[in-house]
Parts: sequence; C-alpha cells; structure tokens
Amino acid sequence: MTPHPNGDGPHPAVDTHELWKIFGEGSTAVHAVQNVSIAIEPGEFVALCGPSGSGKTTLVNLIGGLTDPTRGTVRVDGRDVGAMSERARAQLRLERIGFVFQAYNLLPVLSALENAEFPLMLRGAGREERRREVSKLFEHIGLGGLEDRRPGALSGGQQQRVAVARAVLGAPALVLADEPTANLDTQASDNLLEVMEVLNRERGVTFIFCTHDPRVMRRARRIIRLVDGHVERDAEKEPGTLPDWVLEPVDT
Amino acid sequence: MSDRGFWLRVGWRNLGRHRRRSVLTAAALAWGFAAVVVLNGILEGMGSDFVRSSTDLMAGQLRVQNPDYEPERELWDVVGGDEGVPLADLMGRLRDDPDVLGVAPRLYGAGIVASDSTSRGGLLMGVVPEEELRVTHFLEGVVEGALPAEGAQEVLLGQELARQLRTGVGEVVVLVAPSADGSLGNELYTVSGIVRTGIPEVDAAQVILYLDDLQFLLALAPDDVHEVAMALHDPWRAPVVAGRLSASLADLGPDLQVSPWTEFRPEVVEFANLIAGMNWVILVVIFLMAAFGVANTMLMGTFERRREFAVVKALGMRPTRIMAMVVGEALVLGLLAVAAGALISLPLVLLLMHYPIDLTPVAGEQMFMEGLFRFVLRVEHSWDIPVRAAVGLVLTAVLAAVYPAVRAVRVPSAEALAGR
Repeated sequence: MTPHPNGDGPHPAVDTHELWKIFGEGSTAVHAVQNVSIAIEPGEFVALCGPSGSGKTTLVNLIGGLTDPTRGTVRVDGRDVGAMSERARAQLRLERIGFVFQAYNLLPVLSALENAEFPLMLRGAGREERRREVSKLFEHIGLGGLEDRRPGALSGGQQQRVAVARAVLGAPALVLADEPTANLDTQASDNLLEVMEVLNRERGVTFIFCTHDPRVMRRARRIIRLVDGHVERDAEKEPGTLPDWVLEPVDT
Repeated sequence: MSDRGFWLRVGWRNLGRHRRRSVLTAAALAWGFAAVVVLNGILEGMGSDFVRSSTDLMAGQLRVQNPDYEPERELWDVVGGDEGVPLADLMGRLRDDPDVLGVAPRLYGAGIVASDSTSRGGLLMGVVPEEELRVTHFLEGVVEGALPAEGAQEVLLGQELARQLRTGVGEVVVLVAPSADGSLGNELYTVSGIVRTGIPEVDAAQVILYLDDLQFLLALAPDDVHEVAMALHDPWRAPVVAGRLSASLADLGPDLQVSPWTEFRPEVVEFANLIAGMNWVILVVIFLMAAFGVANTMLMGTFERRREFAVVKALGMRPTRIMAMVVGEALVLGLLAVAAGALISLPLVLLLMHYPIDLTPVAGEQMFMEGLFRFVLRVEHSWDIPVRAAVGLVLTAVLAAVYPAVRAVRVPSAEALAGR
C-alpha cells in the first residue's frame, strides 16, 4: 500500500465507491458503469474483462480522470479524482499514470522515439536520460532501429508497442491499458507482457488491463468481469491459469 | 534538442500536415504584411512630402520672431524689440545649429503699388534672395525676369498682381507704405521679374524687395527684421530644435521667440496626424483580416486533431502547455509570414525609396495648405514601420490562436478518444 500523501495512512492504488457513469438522459440514457465499488492495491496485476459494451473502457477512463463520474467517487492513491481541477488531474496523470489506448493514438507528427519519450519530456527528464530509457526498452520489445519512423510508417503492432512503451517508460505507479495486445502477434504480445510483468514485479507498478485476450488474462493475478456496467465477478487467481467463468457467455 | 526547439518543431510539422492550407494562410499573412509595410511607407512619404511642401514653399520650418509680432504684425515689433539684436550674430548662431539647413531674414509691410496705369494694395516682403532660396522655394517660381538685386531698387511682383497693374519686367512702379517713424515712405522701383508661387493670394498681392530696400522704405534700421525663417534637415525635429534654440538665444533678451512649424501651422500637424491615423486604420483592417485567417486555420486544425489533444491531455500535458502548443503553431505561422512578407516588400520599399514614381503627369499638382503638393509614390525611410508591422502580425497570429487553443484545452478526452 502506498502511504497517503498527507501521511494519514496507506491507500489503495485505485478505489471506486458506488461509481456510476450514465451517458445521456431519460429514455436514451446509457448506464455504462453502474454502482462499481472496487479497491485495487498497489502492485496488483488486474484484468478487466467482459463483453464489448460492458463498461471496461469507461471504467478505465473514470479511473484516469478522463471523464467525470455521474455519481460516486474514484480515488487514485487516496485522492478523489472527480474533485480535482483539470490541472491537478493532468499533474496526477503525468506523475502517476500511464495510458495505453485501444487505437494506439500515437501523435502522427512525432517519430516513434519522440512519441515514446513524450511523457518523460513533459516530466522534465533530460534528453540523454530519455534517449537511454527509450533505446533500452525499444530493443527489448523489438522496436530497435525504428526510432525515427513516424507512426504512419509503422505496422499496427509496432504502433501498439510504441504506445505501450510510452505508457510504461518512467515506471508510473499505475498503468491503465485498454486492449494493449489487440494488434500483436503471440511473440510480440509475450515480449510486451513480460516487460509489464517485470515492471510490476520489480518496481511495484500497478497494471489494470481492459482485455479480451486470454493471454493477458492468464498472466493477471486478479480478474474483474464486467457485464452491463456491473461488476459480475471479482476474483484473485494464480498466474498462468484461466478460470472457466472468464470466458463464459453473458447470461441473458 | 531543447524542449523549446522540440515544440517549435512540432508546430512546424503540424503546419506541414496541411501544407496547402498553411501555405495559403501564410501567404495571405505575408501579403498583408507587405501591404502594410508598403502602404504605410507610401503614406509616411506622402505625409512627409506634405509637411515639407507646406513649410518649404514660404513658411519655413522654424522661425524667430518678436513674441508681440503676431497676430497684429505691427511694423515696429521687430526681432529683439526696441533694443534690437545684431542680425549677423543671430543668423550665425542659428546657422551653427547642426539641425539647421538654412536661415533667411524677412521683413514685412503693407502698402500701395502703382504702375503707370493703375494701383493695387500690396503685401511687401523684404528678403535676401540667396538666403531665402536655402530655406523656401517660392522664389524659384520666377516666370519672367530675375530676382531683385542688392542696391538696385528692384521689385519682384506676383504674376497676378503684375497682370492687374498691367506692368512687366523693366517697367517702373511706385511703392507707397506707412513707415515705422509715422511718415509715408514712397520710392520708385524697377520690376526685375514676375513670380508665380501657386498660392493665389500671394500671386495677387506679393511685392518682393531686397531686404535693405524695404528696411529703407519702412524707415527701419539695417538689423531690423520681423522674422528669421529656417529650414531643417528633418522637419519633424522642429519642436526639439526650437526648444534648444530658445534656450541658447535667451541671452539676447525677451523679445525673441523661436517657434516650430507645428505651432504656427497647426493645420499641417492635424493633416499629418490624419495621415498617421490612416496608417493605423490600414494596419488594423489588414491585421483584422489576417486574424480571421489564422483563427480559421487554427480552428480547423483543432477540430481535426481532437483525438490528439485528448491523448496529450491523458498523458498529463497541462492545459497551459496545450494552449502554448497551439499558440506556438500560430507563432511559427506568423514568423514564416513575416519572413515571406519581408521578401515581398523589401524590393518594393527599396525601389520606391530610391526611385519614387512621380504621378504628377497624371494627377497634376495641387495647391493645399499653402503648399504645392505633388503626387509622388515615395516610401519614407522609416524602419519602425516594418518592425511595427512585424510585431503586429506576429501578435495578431498569436492572439487569433488563443480561442482555438482554448477549444483544444476543452476537448473532452474520453469522448474524443472514442471518436465521438
């Protein structure tokens, strides 16, 4: 558990309480997240699973402060994200959170290297330090030699690896990853997950994945299954195993 | 690569994503800049020409008078008053000022001028022609004969006056004028020449004599003058030079006052200010158009890049930095436009500065505010114009990008990332 910034005791890495997110109003309202209360401790390796439209991405966006909850609270490191100013949220994301988006979302005018080092630069890291970190990770995830390529000159898988590198460089306390392996082959996917596991094991980085990928779910030590915005099941498991209920169809 | 260099590079690359649009916007800005520089330069040149023509023809740009002389213009209110001042000493001290180009003493009077056949009222003016020609241009308008010579008892008549008197060069006229001693002076003079200044009231009444001759006619002493007119290298420095000369001539007594043209020709100042005001209007109108162009380009860019702004927000980029990124692109656009605009305008400015285009054959000459105004396209040498235009353009570009930058900051991250 991380100590609370004000020194009044440890807090979960992520803590949601009766969290709701409703899009629209009246008869057209969509209840994307409904009454979700979960606590994720520092250093956990969690997979959020569930069918498409079950609210995984919305929940991750709520945790990252990219959207405001309709009701309830979401705390990161004990801090109420919903109550923060835009500037404070930006600071929290910069210092504590790494994002991997579903559609890579690399900045097209930057090279692969510049995309990866972008958050480090926002944090004020020096050029040498940034280049050293990026080069080391790029070699490990098979992006060596592609540093100067723009996203348009990279394959989908390569772009996804750059996006992951951008999220994990500098070892943030929390990484929120939305389908990080969706466009990767088995080998690339394994390499990437290994990097994440090392960061998780050695630096205590907390990972929360939205995923449909059984490979990711196997490596997770806790799986939270969402259905229609509700937490249907939340259970810890042994790494390398895949409980049957994870892939069960939704009971209609 | 410094962070600042990085952001400028990002700005440059973002502009390059829609090259045609960026080039068109930069070109519009560059033409705006060039138009402001050239038009302002021409107007500045016209303003300067106007001030010169209004002061060079007869008035002069600086003058020394007895403070009591205007407005009654009494004969005995000469420079230096009753005590008088040594004219040669005064003129020498005025000539010594580095801003002064020429110094011309003048004496004025009023009287009757009569020819063989008729008579008219005349405005008498005593000058030293060779000095006057260094200060003003009206003596250059001699259309017949020559300037009066020293000690020759000669007069130069205005063209219309000569016509009304039915006299001409070589004829004799009589001048009758009240003198300073209360008597009525009268003398015979030979007409040495006819002058046309272009100022109707001058051409219909002016009688120009050598200074000594008028002093004698009006029973005034050889050092008595009503005015010493001066020309300056830079007319706009007249108030400064007047202040300096006033201080340096204080030892000559209280009956001596130095005035710049800005005081004795206030209407010229007003017109010059009007031209300066037009310059600002042109600047504002052109830059307002430029502002809409930049705002449009930046707004389109902001709409197209909603997802990117959402990404950088998610990565922890502070709102102020996002604004700086968008404004930085406008800054790059503005700097490019200034560079291109300078390339466009510089040759034209240099051309019109060194080879003015005289439109007089087409537009003619106009008499305006006692000045003969010629329509000449000439750029005045003034480097504050392009500097002012450059700063104005870059500021316009930056300010026009503020609203798009605010829009970029307000992009809802989750919705934009989801493509909504």
